[in-house]
Amino acid sequence: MRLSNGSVRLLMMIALVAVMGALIAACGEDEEEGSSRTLRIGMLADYDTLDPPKLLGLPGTITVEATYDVLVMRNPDLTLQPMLATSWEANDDASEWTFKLREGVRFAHGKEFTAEDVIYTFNRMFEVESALASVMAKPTAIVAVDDYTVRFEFGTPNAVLLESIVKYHAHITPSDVDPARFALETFGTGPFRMTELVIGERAVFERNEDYWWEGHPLVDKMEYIFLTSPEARAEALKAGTIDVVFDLEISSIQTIEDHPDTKVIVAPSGSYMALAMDVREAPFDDILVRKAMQAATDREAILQGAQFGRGDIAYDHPIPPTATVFNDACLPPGYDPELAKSLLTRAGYPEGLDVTLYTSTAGAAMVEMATVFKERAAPAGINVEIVVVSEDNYWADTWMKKPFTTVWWGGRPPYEGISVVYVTGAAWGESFYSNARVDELLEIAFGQGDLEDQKETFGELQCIIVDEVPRIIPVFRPVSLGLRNDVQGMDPMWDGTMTVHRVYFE
Amino acid sequence: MLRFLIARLSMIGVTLLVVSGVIFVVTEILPGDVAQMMLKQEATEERLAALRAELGLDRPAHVRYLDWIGGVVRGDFGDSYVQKQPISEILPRRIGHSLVLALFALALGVPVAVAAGVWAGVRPDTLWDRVVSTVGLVGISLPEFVTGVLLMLVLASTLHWLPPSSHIISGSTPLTRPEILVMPALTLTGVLFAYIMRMTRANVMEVMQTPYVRTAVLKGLPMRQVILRHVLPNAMLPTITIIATNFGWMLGGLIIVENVFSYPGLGQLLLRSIQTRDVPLLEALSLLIAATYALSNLLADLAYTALNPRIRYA
Repeated sequence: MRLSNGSVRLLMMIALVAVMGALIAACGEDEEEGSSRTLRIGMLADYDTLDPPKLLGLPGTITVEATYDVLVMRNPDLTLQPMLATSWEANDDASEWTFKLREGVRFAHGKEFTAEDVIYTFNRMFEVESALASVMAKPTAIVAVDDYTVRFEFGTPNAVLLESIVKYHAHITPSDVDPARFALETFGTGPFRMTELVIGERAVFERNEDYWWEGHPLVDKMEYIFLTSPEARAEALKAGTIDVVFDLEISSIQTIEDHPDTKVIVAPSGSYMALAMDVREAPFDDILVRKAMQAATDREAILQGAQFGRGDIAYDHPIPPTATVFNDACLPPGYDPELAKSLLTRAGYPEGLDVTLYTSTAGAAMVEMATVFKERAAPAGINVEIVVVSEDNYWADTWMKKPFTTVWWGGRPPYEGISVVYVTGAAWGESFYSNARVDELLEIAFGQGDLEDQKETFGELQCIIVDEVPRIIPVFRPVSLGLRNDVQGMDPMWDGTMTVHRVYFE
Repeated sequence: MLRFLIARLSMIGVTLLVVSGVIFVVTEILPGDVAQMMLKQEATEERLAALRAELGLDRPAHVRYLDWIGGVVRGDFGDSYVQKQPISEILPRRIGHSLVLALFALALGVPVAVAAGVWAGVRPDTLWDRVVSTVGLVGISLPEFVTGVLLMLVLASTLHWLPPSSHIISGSTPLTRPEILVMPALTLTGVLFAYIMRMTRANVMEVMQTPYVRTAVLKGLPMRQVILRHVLPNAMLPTITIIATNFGWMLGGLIIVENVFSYPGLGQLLLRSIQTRDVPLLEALSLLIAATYALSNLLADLAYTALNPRIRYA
């Protein structure tokens, strides 16, 4: 029997492909990097939109932060820095705010930045239902006093305006561009220009040679690289194929710290973990039960067990100890199972209490927190049954639907951090808590410009919230960056993003 | 032959239509939609409604499906919900990446697997046969994310031979930096090897028992020649089917491998589209993968007839 034509062809094909493969593999020598080094930043999440007021995910947010500017920036150390606004002042009752704008600044497409762009940006934010629009008071008017002066009018006192102005949803967009183009292109006045965007793969940036901030940015080229697996990100950093891992998983911190060429920066953030109790439903409608849960919470154990000891202890309200308005006079009791037991007995549960805690792997270390909470609450006679729900519909169908759930929150400034959850009828009021005094104090805080007054108002708010325990907030989450040793000046920001203005190679 | 082809191709058309319907129904049943997936904790009723209206999700399901399938028939796959780009612009680049990886894995895996299968099949139940079979079984039993991470630890982290992640850097393609393909391809080969090797081994053992092979041996042909000229061509027939179906699997089954190594191909896009409920993108990818399966099976059948004159389609 002779070899049929077909099989000869097939064998030749196989041989050909094999040779090709070998050839390809042989020519795969490393190419040397060019003289000007590119800062390569590895990121886990994928693109959703680049339109500033509609920002949702981290890659979009830090793309906007690299290419646009805000009026006022809040630095990692919480100081305020003039950006597109050179100065600002409020009238006596803080119902009108006037911003002086920087002159001679141009957007990426050449338009000069003036007051009309500020007006356009903030009006559009409310038109498109930006997430910021739901926490920022809507101005009754935004007026261009002249080309470089703009006035926000609110009618009533608004002392917390700057808290909104510094946020990433408030990056200034030009007024002469079709807004549909903001989703995929960048037009800002920022430190970098985006030169390439391949969604799901990378975004490439070059330094803005005309940037108004003399001498900044400090690197010429920057690249965001999307890496789908946490293992690949950590290994790529160690191997030096990327320079920065943004938002490093807590579980990777140890291996990055141990490697001789890499380091970890863990910054405190306002981001926190919480156990939300629906105060309308039994048994959580009884304040004694909530206080028992509070006393049965081992914050230190949760910090160790869920976050490997990184981050900070929290005290059942969202204001971090580093904030100026933090009140150290009102703190919850330490871990005390005996106290919890006696509280439960007084509440009518002398035999102990069974509760069901719903959680999910939908971000942060929620399941780990739930597990540690269960272990440490058991000695207090609180028997926690943990139900882990699919992350796909956790936020939609479980959170704010079940009476006892885990949750994690991003960092927010004090007024916003409290009002989005604790004010009566809040859209995200996960405990369905309502307290007339809290509402009243928030209204007062809204109009208070003086720090001493603020300390007093927020101090009382913290005392009430700690005392009534609508939620247990055991720990603040760390924001972690993994860096090559020679990367300097890259600090995690207070809101969990990062600044690229001051990064440089040593 | 022509009639056979027309019949098969129209069957493939019907299959794809059914697939598109099933995928759509499944995404309707799955909890959560793209608006919820995008907004997560930030979802309020107002923002959900606004985003749904923007994406056209406020229309009834059957209207959305008919609208979409009507576009597909005209060659328009619509826009991705999340990426806001036409799907026809997203796909070609990803198809290219996955195709290169799949071909690379086949080129790496098939010759080795066939050679090992022949070697083992010629001497069944020897020590060598057991070693090859065991290696194959281990390869197929370990999930890809285990073999993938193991390879990463050994070849990248410890030996520093290869880059640990297969992302494509600016200004390069997988062909200009083929080293990024090696670990994903090896991982795929681990699974492929067992299939092809076992099939080849079984067929070789069967052919070795046939009278014509015994005749060839008895008439004094060298063993090499017996295997190359008589055994291999006959034993390869079923193996070709296996290779072809595996090609379909390779394109669809790249999900895990591409995600472990962060290689931007179809598998990565598919996982992302499922996670975000990006239905138009998910539909387009599913159709593409189903079509690859169907067409590679058809090609296998055609190759089969070409190799085996006893089978002829009317």
